[in-house]
Amino acid sequence: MTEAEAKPEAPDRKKILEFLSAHKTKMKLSLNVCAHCGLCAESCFIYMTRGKKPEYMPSHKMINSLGKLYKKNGKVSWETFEEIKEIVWKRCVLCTRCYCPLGIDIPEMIALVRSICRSQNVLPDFDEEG
Amino acid sequence: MYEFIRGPMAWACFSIFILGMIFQAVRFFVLTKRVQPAGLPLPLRYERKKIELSRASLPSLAAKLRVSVAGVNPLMTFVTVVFHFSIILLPVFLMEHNMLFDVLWGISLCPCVFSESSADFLTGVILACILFFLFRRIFISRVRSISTFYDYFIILLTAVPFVTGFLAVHGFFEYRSLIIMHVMSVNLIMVSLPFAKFVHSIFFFLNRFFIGSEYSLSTGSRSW
Repeated sequence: MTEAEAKPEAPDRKKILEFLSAHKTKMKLSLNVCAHCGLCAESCFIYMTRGKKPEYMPSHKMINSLGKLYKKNGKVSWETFEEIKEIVWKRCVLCTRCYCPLGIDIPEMIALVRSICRSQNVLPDFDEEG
Repeated sequence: MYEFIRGPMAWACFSIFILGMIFQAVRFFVLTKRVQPAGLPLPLRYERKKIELSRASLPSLAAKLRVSVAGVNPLMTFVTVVFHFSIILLPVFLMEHNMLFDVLWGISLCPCVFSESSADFLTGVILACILFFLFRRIFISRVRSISTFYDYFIILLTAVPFVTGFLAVHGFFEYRSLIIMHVMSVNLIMVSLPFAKFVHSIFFFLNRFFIGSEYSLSTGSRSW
């Protein structure tokens, strides 16, 4: 069976919701408390060395990965998962250097999304060039 | 309607605010657990002993400040601190509010209240800070990229009590309508504060002083 044949039509929403429920309170608090101030940006060395593009900002990564999963209540497509995979593996190395004035644990949120991706067999392509 | 908004509605909103804040604080302590601080020297962590402001300690303190958010974003830090202190000080020490407290409950901070000119100046400072936050959100791409309608609404909602209060005190437009808007906007802020984005007002202290991390402002005695 090829990989394309083995892959289900849509991600397993039940599994995604299980992960989200297990970290529900901290996740909701983190997304709620985030004041969208952008002060975390300069603490991320990837943001600083990639032309200071907004998509490398820690809060941008958290909102566009975990935030997306939470807002859509786990009902996301494989395309969305590909976008999230790019965010949590290519744009973040979980160095935990990111600073939040409100004390949000951004790396833990990114790590949670990585776990969700793994549960859906969405894995990084470490062999990929560039 | 005027009496209802100023009376029962304001009381109900204030009660929701107090109960909501208590709920959030209790929930924080229920959801976190006490842990032993790691005891490792972390770069930006405060020492247990007092920070001595002697000549010898200055280079170290200066280095710490330089890599902190105050050093990296000095203007934003300054405006944030001024803004947050002002929005607490102005309502508490405003002469008109203290006259109201005196009539209602027989308590007031008079004569330790702002003069009219000082209150006007502080109102101007607050509105300037709000404009700074708004322009920052519009013109700085990284902040704009994560901003939603909700963020802009919150900023403008914060401005309404100060604008309406200023206009009412100085006799612009119709006093009663302005006071209704003034009280309604404060009621809305009070009700939403424990549950909306304003909740950062309490979580700033809870997270930064209790949760252990590199950026903890204390020994970090709790963990999620």
